[in-house]
Amino acid sequence: MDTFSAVAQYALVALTAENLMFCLTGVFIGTLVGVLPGLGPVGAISLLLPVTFQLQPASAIILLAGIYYGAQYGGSTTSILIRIPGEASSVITCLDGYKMALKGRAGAALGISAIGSFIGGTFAVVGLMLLAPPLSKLAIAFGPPEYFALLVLGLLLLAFLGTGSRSKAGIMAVVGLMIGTVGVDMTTGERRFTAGSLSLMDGISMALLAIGIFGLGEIISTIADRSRGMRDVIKTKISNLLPNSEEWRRSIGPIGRGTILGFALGILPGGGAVISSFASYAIEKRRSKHPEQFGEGAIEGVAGPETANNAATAGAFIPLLSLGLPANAVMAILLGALQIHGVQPGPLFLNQHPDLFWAIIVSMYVGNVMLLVLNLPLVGIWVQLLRVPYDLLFPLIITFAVIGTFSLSGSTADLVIMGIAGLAGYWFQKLSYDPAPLIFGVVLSPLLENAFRQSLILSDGSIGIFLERPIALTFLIVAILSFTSVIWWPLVERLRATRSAAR
Amino acid sequence: MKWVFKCALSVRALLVGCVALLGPAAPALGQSYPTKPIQIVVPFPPGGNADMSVRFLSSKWSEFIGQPFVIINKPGAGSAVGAKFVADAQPDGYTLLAATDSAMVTVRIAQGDPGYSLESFDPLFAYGKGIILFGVQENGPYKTFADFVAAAKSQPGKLTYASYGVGTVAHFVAELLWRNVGVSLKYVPFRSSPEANAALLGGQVHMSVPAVIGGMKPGSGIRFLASTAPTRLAGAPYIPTLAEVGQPLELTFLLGLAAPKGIPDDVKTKLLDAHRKAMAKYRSEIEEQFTRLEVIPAEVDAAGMRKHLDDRQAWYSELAPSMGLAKK
Repeated sequence: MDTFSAVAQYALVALTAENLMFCLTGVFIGTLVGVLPGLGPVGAISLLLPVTFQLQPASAIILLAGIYYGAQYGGSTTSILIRIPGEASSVITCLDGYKMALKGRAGAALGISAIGSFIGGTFAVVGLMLLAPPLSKLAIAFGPPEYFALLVLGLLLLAFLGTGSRSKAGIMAVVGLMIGTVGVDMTTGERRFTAGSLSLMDGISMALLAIGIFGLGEIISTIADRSRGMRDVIKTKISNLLPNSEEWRRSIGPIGRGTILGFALGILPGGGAVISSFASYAIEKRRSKHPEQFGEGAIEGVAGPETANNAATAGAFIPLLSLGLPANAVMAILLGALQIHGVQPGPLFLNQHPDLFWAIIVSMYVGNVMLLVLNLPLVGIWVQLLRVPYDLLFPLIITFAVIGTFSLSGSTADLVIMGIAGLAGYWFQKLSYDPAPLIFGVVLSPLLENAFRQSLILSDGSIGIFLERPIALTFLIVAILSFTSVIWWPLVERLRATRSAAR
Repeated sequence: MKWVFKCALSVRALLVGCVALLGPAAPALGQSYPTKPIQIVVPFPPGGNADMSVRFLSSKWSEFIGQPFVIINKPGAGSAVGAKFVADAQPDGYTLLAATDSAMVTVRIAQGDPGYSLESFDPLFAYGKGIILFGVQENGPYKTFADFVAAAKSQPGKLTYASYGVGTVAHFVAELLWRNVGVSLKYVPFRSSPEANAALLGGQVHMSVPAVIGGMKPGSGIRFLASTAPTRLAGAPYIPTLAEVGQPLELTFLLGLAAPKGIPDDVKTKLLDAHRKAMAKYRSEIEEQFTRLEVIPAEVDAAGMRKHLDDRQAWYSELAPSMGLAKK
């Protein structure tokens, strides 16, 4: 087959000793910056950018891409261990990953997220290899109305994100959507709820909220509990670094579904990795026979999202390489790095630079293997972190959160927001409001609004545009069916019951 | 574990240290400038042509100025965050702005007062010009700019064009052109040039108005009917200029350096000298790199840059109300 002979031919480019070194360096740095809250792949890649000017194009991109997907691996580590997401796409892992750690299953959580990431990453690369040209056509077919309809479907997932009360989850989702409206109005340039602050003009960062609500909130409530003598260092014995057979069994489905979901959403521009991790969590919870375990340390809630975000990382290379369309800030830098070398990703990229295309793909396989090898032994080291007493660990975490946040934006307003989010996070825990729907609401809100308003500009204000387009209409019908399933599903069940009774 | 944190701490400390050092301290000026690294604030995320071109050029400048340049990306509020940061910095020549029409002019008109104005800066010099392009579907009905204008005239307000955001340079340039041509089009804002191109390829809009060609060469699905370049582009000589399609408008935007108001004259001279020497020594290499980044090499002095910005300020402010960008 044509594709495979191409792979074989160009694999040699990627597999030179030099490029393997760059790949290893990239994934190693990526793992590090992923682990550190605050310092993300954007910062690391832009620091390394000048270095890559001197390299061959293939080496440059292999190094930088390695940082990118390495960061996706590392990002889950802090989510699981200290409830601070290293990356936006690992926010959802805080929920069950951290609970697993509290129960002494940190090793299993870290292990399954590394393995899930490996599987998701590898299969998505296969998908990228086989499907890049046709899928780039699909990505183009996705106009604002289609995107809006897809996001409406995503919005419904919000209801399944929360633990506990549905109405509380609803309240949190609405608050999240409202927070998402802060910033400059995309269609008029009007400032909304910015209180004259430049920092608020781009909206409130979801990563910032997550660090505050999950990380700082957890610290505050732990201290509060401890002052009443309720909790101390995790005393549970940390054993069995790898998932046991029961955990394996429960993870296989989520990993499979996470791969497909992540890859599919990764192709669409605009935060595919983040959205796919949330969507995977919601779907796993929905499908689960024991949804009550979600939020209490269900391994499905770690395996699914961690697989999905890595698959999305690979999927995001499709719009980048075939349309020159970067899916996120990291991709935009990769694009700049390619440009400096006189390479222009676009519809003609695969024809004009097949060597580079396949070198990137092959390096991604290799990178995923390296990451697995790198991360599994590290699991043993990471879990030792849980032995650090809180008196030492908490100041360290807070210092990291503050410095990390400040180094990203240099904005004191961001620190204030993080602090407020921390207090809110404590309050949410006290009143058992699950913050996950809020965070997802913040992510969805601007995307949803933009797609909606772009659609209405195109249709001169007619809502009909959503019904005239087959893809958009399909998504909306699925959304309505699943939204009303509470009503019609019992009827179907009853009908079935009477039928079998009649028989 | 520990070494990881240590390693990270030192990276962070270095970054934070740099910022702290370069910030408030008022060092001895004059003969000794520069005695420490010079910070260039890029008000965009890393990767774009404003960012990449200044990264590349500054690595050449440092040879002649004797200190490294540190590129700091401060994106946000459509470039106002970085510009405000520089406007508020000490005018000691250690904090400079990678200045474009966006940070200096359009952001303020489109989004209201960001807390600085053109008067907050001393423009130093511009090293290049950026262009705006007008693309349609390659297999669509419009083969020339005239075709498109005729279609737009026959159905006023019906044709749509996409670009990278409301109140951006591309938005102003396009509206100015439509007014000159005498047509009215509907604007659909997207978040980036490639997104606008994808919307065109998918048939969502009739025209895309990006600030880069990117990979959209002939055969890719997009035909560029015109660009705002003063002469045909070295990297894409098949794209006509606006003058060639009957619209002799000078609608490029500048890429240059600006400093906080009140920077000493000898510092200005030293920076300009460094640029001139770098150009003299590395001209072909720089021009080759600029062609890749779709930046047109240009040498515009402080006065020329000032005039360019003042002109844009006047044109675009006048145009803003008709674009729905009322004064806020």
